[in-house]
Amino acid sequence: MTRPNHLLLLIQLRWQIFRNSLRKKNRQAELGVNVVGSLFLVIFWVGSSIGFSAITFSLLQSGADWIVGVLLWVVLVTWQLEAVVSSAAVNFQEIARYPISFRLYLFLNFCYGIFDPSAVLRMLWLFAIWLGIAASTPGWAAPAALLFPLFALFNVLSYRVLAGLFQRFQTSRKGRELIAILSLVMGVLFQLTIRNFSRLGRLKPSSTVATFLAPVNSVSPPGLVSHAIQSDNLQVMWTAALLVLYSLVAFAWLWRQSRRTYQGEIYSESYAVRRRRRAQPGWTFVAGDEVFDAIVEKEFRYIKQNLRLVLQMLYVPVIAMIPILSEGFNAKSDFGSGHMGLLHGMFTAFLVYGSTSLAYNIFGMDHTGFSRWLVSPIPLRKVMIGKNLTHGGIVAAIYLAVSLGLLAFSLIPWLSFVTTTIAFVAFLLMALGAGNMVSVYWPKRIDATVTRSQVISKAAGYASLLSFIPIALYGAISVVVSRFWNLEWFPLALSVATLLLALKLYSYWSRRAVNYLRDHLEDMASELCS
Amino acid sequence: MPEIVLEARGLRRTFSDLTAVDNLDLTVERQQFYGFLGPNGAGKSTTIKMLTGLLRPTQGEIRIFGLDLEKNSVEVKRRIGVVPEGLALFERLTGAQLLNFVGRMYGLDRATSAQRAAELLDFMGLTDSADKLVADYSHGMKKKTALAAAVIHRPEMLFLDEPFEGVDAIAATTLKGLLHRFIERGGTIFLTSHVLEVVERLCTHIGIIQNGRLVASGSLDDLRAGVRIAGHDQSPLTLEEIFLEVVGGAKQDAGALSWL
Repeated sequence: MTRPNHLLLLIQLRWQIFRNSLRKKNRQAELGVNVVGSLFLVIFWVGSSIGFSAITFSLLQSGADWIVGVLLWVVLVTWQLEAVVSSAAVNFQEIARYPISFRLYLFLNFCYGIFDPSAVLRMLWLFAIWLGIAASTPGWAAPAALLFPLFALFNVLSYRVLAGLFQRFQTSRKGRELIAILSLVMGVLFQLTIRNFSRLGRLKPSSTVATFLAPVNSVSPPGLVSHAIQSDNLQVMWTAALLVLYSLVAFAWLWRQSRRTYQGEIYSESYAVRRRRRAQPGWTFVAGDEVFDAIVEKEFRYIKQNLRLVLQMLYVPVIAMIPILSEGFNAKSDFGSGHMGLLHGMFTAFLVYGSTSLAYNIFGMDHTGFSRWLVSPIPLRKVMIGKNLTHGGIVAAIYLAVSLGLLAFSLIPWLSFVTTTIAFVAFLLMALGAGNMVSVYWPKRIDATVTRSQVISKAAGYASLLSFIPIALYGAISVVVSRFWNLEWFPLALSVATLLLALKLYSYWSRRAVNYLRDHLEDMASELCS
Repeated sequence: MPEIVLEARGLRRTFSDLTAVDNLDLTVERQQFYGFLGPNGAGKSTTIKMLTGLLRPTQGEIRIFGLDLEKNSVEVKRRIGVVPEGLALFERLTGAQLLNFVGRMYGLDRATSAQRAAELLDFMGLTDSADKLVADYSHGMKKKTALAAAVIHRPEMLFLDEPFEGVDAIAATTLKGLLHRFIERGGTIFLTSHVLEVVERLCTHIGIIQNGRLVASGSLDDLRAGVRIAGHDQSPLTLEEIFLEVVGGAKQDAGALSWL
């Protein structure tokens, strides 16, 4: 019997799975979307790398030597943080099922750390920094050429260790929710960092912070490397030795972690039983219809267990509001407090856009339960309306909480509130109606145990971007006509007209979605129930 | 004359070039326990999916309780209970929440739904796990939950796709007890199964499907009368013998798998 080449077999397996997935039409659409997405990604990769080179070059030219350390910290932090959001992109437990040796298993785990797109991007950034150094300070290029690969090696290993830890952490619901919150906070911090990045050249490290962080920085890989490339050869060799030591520690940890997974340590989900309880009567809502009540209760319970969905929905408006609010409250800004109505409108627009994370894949969490809708004696349209009521209710509650708060403090006028609320209902209806269509055209099974599992398909993601066009159009027409022609009543009239149109569209899209669903039951079931 | 509760005429379902079910005619009468058998890939699951509204037939007509399934799907679904292939459970609800939810989906009021959910959990021996997520149930517990969900609204007819697959002997006894009680009280059951012994012991009528076509149908005695096996002794034929004779038996090639 010949010894199988497991590595080759695994590559072939991945390729066959990819090819088989293209047999479905919606997957072909996904592929098309992926190609477009990849183009944008390449533009980002190249653009950011050029940025790293340019910053390194220009700041080193102006004598800001500390920039190398800062950029290495950026590389390290963003690289390691990727572990939080991408830890379960490949399930290494599955790979451990095959008759492969532990050595090969460990090697594959390590390889995944090198060839992961996020790792490739960081290596590209490191190369870009090196180019900047070589162009501005050629004397530092040689030690950097030695130390940067070791720095990258340490990052690859610690990234895999962190990914393993987070994979373990997210097997519990609480862990996943914490990670979701952490991701949101990280996103906000990242936006704030980006916002202040332009001022980097003018920044002088605060003395208190610098004093506090200096000892940490001096023994950290970024601090060691940035210091060593500016020092003598002995220091370079010491730093190289230390980086090798750090890498060995990370490798030992990875080895131990991989060994435990390879030996079958179980990562299954587990839920604590709170207390023994008999069946309780279900919830009652205003709908006064048992079926609607039951659907809404089920949806609420599901969303309660997947707070990530709500956070994902809030992510866009929160991120978008950071620069807007900081400008809005800035006394020197042109915005001023009198423009809070406009800010409120923008918040509403982003909230409606964010609602697509719930509305554009309404069956995604149901899994085999999807068949339950089909065998139940209720029209599919009623199921969709029930789900829309829940999702729309959550978004409306957030909207009202913010809007009524602004109204209570007289930050927005009544007319503005009424106009924006009508527009909000109109665009939310459109989002829900379009969401019903998208949900049946591009369904996607949501895996709650995987942090990075997309909550909507990629095609649906791009469709949600298109949904912003009518909102922007409405905003632009509303502002331009009311300001330039002094027609204060115009936005209200436009909102009412939009609401009438939205009611028609919601009804039309929902009807089409049900018809499409009836004709594609098998496709939907195979996507959601598999 | 016995009441016909299920009638399928000229049922056909194709998937691209593949014909999974071809010109199938079926008749099931009230209070019959109808076992639907066939080798793997014969079209059993496709048929039951079409009969329960989970899949549209390419051609043909299905009447349940005299109602056209296509035109009266909601009314028909209200009167039947289904345990489909994937069990169709919302696994992120607890067992109690799920049964409560299903009951209300079938129009039961909150109090009745909660009461029946509690009784069913008790009958199925799941009371201690009532507050556990269905996702954490064992396979047998999920099957019992699916059956409980199928009967909570007191249907007149049950469609069960492989209800005993992967179920241990204790759980199977519970399920069989519930099914017997259902038939005694005037219900009708249409069941697919691979376990011939179970079908032989439970079912009053049997249909055998092969390559998408119904190749035999009737009571066990009818099938025994219709099948003759050369050289067989005088003892009554078992369902397994009838089944193998009707579908052509297992291939016995002495040269195959010689390496094993």
